[in-house]
Amino acid sequence: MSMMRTALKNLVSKPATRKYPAEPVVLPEGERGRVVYDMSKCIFCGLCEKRCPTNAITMDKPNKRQSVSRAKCIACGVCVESCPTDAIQMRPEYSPPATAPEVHVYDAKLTPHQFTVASLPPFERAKVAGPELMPTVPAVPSEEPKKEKPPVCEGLDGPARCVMSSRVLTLFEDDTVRKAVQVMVANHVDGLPVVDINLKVLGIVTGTDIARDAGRGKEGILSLLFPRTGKKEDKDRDERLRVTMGKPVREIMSSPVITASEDTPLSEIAALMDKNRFNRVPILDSAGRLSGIIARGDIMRAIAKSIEKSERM
Amino acid sequence: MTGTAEQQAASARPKPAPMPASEIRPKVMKMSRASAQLVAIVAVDLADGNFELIYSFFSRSELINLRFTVPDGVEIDSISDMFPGAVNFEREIIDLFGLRFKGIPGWLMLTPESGIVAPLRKSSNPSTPASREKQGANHG
Amino acid sequence: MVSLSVTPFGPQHPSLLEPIHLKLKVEEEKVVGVDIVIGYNHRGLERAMELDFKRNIYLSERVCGICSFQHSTAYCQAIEQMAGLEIPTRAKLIRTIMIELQRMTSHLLTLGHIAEVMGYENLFMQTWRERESVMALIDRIAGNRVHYSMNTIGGIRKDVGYDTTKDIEITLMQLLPKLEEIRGVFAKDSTFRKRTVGVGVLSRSAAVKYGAVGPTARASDVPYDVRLSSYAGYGVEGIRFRPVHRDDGDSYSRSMVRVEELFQSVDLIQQSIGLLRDEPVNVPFRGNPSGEAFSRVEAPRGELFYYVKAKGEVRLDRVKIRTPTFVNVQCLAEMIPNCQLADVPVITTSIDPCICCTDR
Repeated sequence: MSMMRTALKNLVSKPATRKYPAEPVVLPEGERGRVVYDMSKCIFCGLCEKRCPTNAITMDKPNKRQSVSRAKCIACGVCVESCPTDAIQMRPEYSPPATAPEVHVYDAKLTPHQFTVASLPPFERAKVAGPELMPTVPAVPSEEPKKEKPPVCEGLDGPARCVMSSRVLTLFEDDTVRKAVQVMVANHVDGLPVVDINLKVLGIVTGTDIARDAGRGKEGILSLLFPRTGKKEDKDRDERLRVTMGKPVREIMSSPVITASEDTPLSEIAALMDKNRFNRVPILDSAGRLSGIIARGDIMRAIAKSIEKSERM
Repeated sequence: MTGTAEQQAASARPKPAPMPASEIRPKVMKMSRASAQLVAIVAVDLADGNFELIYSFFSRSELINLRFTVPDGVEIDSISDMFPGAVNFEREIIDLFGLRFKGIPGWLMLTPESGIVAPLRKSSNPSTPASREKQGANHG
Repeated sequence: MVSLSVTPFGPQHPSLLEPIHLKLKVEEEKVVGVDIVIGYNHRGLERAMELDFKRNIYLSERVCGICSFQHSTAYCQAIEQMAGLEIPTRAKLIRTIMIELQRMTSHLLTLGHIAEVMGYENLFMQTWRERESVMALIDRIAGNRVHYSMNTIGGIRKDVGYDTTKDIEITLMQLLPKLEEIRGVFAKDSTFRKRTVGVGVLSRSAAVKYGAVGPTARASDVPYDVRLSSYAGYGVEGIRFRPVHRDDGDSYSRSMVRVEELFQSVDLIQQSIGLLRDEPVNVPFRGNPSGEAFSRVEAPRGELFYYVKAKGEVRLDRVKIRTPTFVNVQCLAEMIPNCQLADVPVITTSIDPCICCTDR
């Protein structure tokens, strides 16, 4: 009889389960989910690689990279404990579904917790992810003079390296447009360079490119902003958006990309932007790898700083 | 000293020498008369052609381990008439080590079609020195 | 003339969580014999554990999902015994707390599962709802619901703070009245009693002969509980408990032993929290182990036995894991004959089979 009472009580009370995915999951803060690296603190001692029970971490000391194979990581937290400089954090997250085992590559040139995702291409899925995945990038030649100090950044027309943002958000060419949109929204940017695993710039994806792909007819991008009519056009528009979101960014990106080197003076870069109506110019280092980006916002900031300096003088 | 009370007592006693295979049935018979409970039968490959069988019994609040050394290829007496629960242990040892027990069939964990033979023997594992000797002059 | 037919129960069956094959010899709804076939989940873990003794802390957890902390405790205890390490009392008590919390989740799972296989979905959902509060509690303590990764050789990896112990106490206080309700249902509900009383009887002599362990043995009048051997925190001065014990040997007794053990676990956790003192939670362990050790732990299903032999290298010489269901599953040969065909799922579930432990 007690079960009858319980059954009737359950009939009128609210459900004991969470209505996921309509309601988000709140994970406790100690939850072991994903390992992230802060490369600015990493000293490449290799303790995390040695102590990982499943050999999920591979360190690439000459290229200053750490890669974590998500398929092998068991989220035990031994790497977090063994890091002497606290460069590793354990974030409470679920693993999202993916189409191939992901390897997260943390590069010292990118922002502290940002990583690029190297998915194993399908035909290599059977291969064990490990040192084979780390590309053989030629090491920076040792005759490069290390003692040369960069020129002092005086005045408004300094070289690009003084103005650029050196932590760049990037995409791989196999990443989907959906991922590009997520990154753009999360970081309040409008365009992202697309790179390969050697940080060679292959193209740029902007919000306009995405909207142009999904738009239709002579209205183009603006067709996405028309009010919904409740007729067939709405379904067509949703379908086009869905198709666009699933495409890899290599089909949407604009390439080849106009780039500049770290020594190019700012006036040249501004002229480039004006002539070609770009909003951003990637900056490459002497080896041809992406080392920073200058967008209109960076130029505004440089102008404001220089005006402030001259007013104080 | 560390460990539970019974572990401390067990490590304080001097370790007896392992007994030959012919002693298995008499010693186990003594255990069965004392109403002991069979805990496990453990087989260890000693890598010199012999195997050590450890019969663990729990009797009167302590763990008693009987050790026997059996050479390879000899058929060992089964204790399943005294302890029916020993059948699973013996079948597993037949599968994983390739030893033989009188009247006990194998194929508990492995199937005949799998082609795997005695995987827990040291000679079956490519990384242990015993198997490298088996492979001969290739390994220096 | 009665006809004999062989009905397969498993390896895939809606009432089974894991694959086990029972060949039932059936004579018109009455089962007269059974052949047990296991080995579907054999992963060769005893060999895998020989490769690296430090990695085994995490590999031993993954032998089983529902008794993962017991496996990792048994392994760490074996290595600590070989190395002669004495772990601090606080570590022993925290191990006890986590062992008992896992025992609660496991028993609630089994009780719900027994109710489910007899078609009593309401009771199944209710029991699992209470289990969720313990699982969420464990998630907050350890960072994961199933594989706690809290053990290391020499104690516990990270300390458990005052907030966490308060959290445990409050959750258990809120849980106790719900457990009382569940006990009332399991003890008195006529549907449950009709399907379990007198079904699958295991006599005392049979239990001793087969070497049965855990609640299966304790329900058949064999008071065999490894916690009496004072491993982990059970030997600490001030912890008192007595094993739960019944003598009917049928499925009802086995379920009631588990229900009583739930309350025993809550009591043990509260005693352990009261005895916690401020001290470090691990001792450093250097070098490689050598020697051999026997380590026994009371998992929710019975006695878990580890034999570890090492030779002073990173590789181990032999690791033998003897899990409780390995011996308990043989008792099915005693319990199933002479029952109705519809009783077979109930009897199989009442010994609480954990086939991934059996097959390793």
